Amino acid sequence: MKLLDDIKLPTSKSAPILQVDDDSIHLKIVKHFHHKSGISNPYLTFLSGDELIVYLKKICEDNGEAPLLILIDINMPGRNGFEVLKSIRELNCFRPEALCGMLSSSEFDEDIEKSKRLGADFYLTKPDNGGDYLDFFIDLASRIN
Amino acid sequence: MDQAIIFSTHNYTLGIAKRLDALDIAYEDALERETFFKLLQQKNFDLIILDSSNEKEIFSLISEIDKFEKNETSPVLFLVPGKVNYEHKLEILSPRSIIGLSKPFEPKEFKNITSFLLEKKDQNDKLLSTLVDLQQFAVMASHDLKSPIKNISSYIDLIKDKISNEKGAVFKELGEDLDLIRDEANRMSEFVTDLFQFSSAGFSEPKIEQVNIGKLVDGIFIRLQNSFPEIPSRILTEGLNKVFMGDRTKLEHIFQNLIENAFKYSNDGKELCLKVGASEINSWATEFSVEDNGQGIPVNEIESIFLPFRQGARSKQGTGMGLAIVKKLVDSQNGSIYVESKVGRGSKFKFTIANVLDRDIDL
Repeated sequence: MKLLDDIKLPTSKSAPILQVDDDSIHLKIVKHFHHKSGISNPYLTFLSGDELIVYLKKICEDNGEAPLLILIDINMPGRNGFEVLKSIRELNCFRPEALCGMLSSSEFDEDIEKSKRLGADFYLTKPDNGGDYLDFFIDLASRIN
Repeated sequence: MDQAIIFSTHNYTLGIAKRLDALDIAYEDALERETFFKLLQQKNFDLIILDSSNEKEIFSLISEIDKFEKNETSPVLFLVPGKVNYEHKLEILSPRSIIGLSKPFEPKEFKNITSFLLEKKDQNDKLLSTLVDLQQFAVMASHDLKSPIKNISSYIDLIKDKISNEKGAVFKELGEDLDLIRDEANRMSEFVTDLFQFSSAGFSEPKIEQVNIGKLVDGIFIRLQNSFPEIPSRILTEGLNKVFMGDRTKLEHIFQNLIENAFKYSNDGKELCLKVGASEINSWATEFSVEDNGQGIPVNEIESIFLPFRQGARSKQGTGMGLAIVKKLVDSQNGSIYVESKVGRGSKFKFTIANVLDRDIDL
C-alpha cells in the first residue's frame, strides 16, 4: 500500500488525513499505525459517507484547512464509496481539488476502473499486515517534509 | 407459451405452421433470410425450425446463427428431404441441441421431437443459471471473507506492537502465540485467495494483448529464485522469443504456478533444471511446456492432480488449488493441459492455448 510517486501532496503538516469506512476495527488498526508513524498530520475517521460530507461542508463554510487526502472505502451501507467520491467532487470548494482515493478490499477490475472514471486520484487495496499501514504513513510524512 | 421461429429456404412453411398450431406453440414465420437473422438478434426463441432441401445449407445457417449473442442455447429442429446424417454437425461450436427430421414426417414424430427439444432447452437454461449463481456466490463469498481475515492479521500486528516493549517470559510466550494465530490467518487468506481465483478463473472476459512470453517467464523465474534462495536453479527456454497474442494475466498465472511447483517439489540438494518451451502445433494453437527434474508425481496421484483441493502428499505448503486453477485458466482459453511424470526424474507439463488471430482483435 503506497501512493504513486507522481501524486502531489499538499505540504501542510497540519492538514488532516481523513478516512471513511464502516469497519470500525479496520479504522482502529489504521489509527494505531498512524500514531506509531509519528506523522504530525492528524487522522480523522468517519463511519459513513454522510458523516464525512457533513464535516467537509463545515470546513468549506468555515474556510478551514483542506484535508491532506481522503481515503474512501467502497462497500458501505447507505452511500457507497463511489457516491461519496462523487459528492466530494461536487462540493467544489477545495482549490486545488482534495486528493481522494479508494482504500478497499476489492480487487475487482470493475471497481478500480469505476473509481478512476469517477475521478479518484489513487486506488489502494487494504493490506493484511500492520507494517504496510505504518510504511504508508511514514511515506506520507517524508513527502511533506 | 413457447415461442418458435420458422425459416424455410424455399419459402414454404405452411405445413410446419399447422403442426405448431396443433401443439399450441407460438411462432414467427421469417419469410426472408434477412428477417430471420434480424429476429434472432432481437428476440429470444425456445425453438428454431429450419427447413431446407439439403443438410449442408442447414448447418451453414446454424453457423451463422451461432455468431449471435441471443439464442445461443436455443435448440434447432431441421427438416430435410431424405435421410438425416448430421454430416456437418461437428463444425457447430454452440452448445445447442440439434435434431433433424426427414420430410415428409409423421405429426406424432414432429410432436415428440419438439417437446423433447423444448424440455431440454428448459433444463439447460436452469442449469446454466444455477452455474452462474454458484460462480457469483463463490466469487462474492471469497471476496467478503478477505476483509475480516485482513483485520485479524493486522490486529495481531497491532497487539504485537503494543506489547513489544514489555519484558518477561509471559510476553515472550504471548508473542509466539500471536505468531501462530497469524500463520493460521495467513493460511486462511491463501485459501480464500485461491478459492477466489478458482471461482473467478474463466469468469472474467479475456483481455487479449501482445505478450512476450520469454520476458514473462524470465521475470517469474527470477522472482522465484529470490523466494527459494536455498534451491540452486537454472532455466533453459526455447521458442519463447516470439510475441504471442493472449491474456497476459492468465498466462502469467499459469506459468507462475507451474514454475513455482517445480521449485516446491524439487529434489533436495540437486540443482533444479527447468526447461520452458513453446511451439506452434498448427495455425490455430500453440503448445507450451514446463519441464523440471524434480521429485515427479506418483502414478496414483497423476489422475487427481488437476482436481481442486488436492495436494502432493509430500508437501505441507500451499492450498492444493494451484493446478486446479491452472487447468481452469487453460480451459477458459480453449486449451487443454496434460502432464508426463516419473518419480525421482521430474515432470513435464504441456498445455495448449488457442491462437488469437489478429483479425479477432479489436484495435
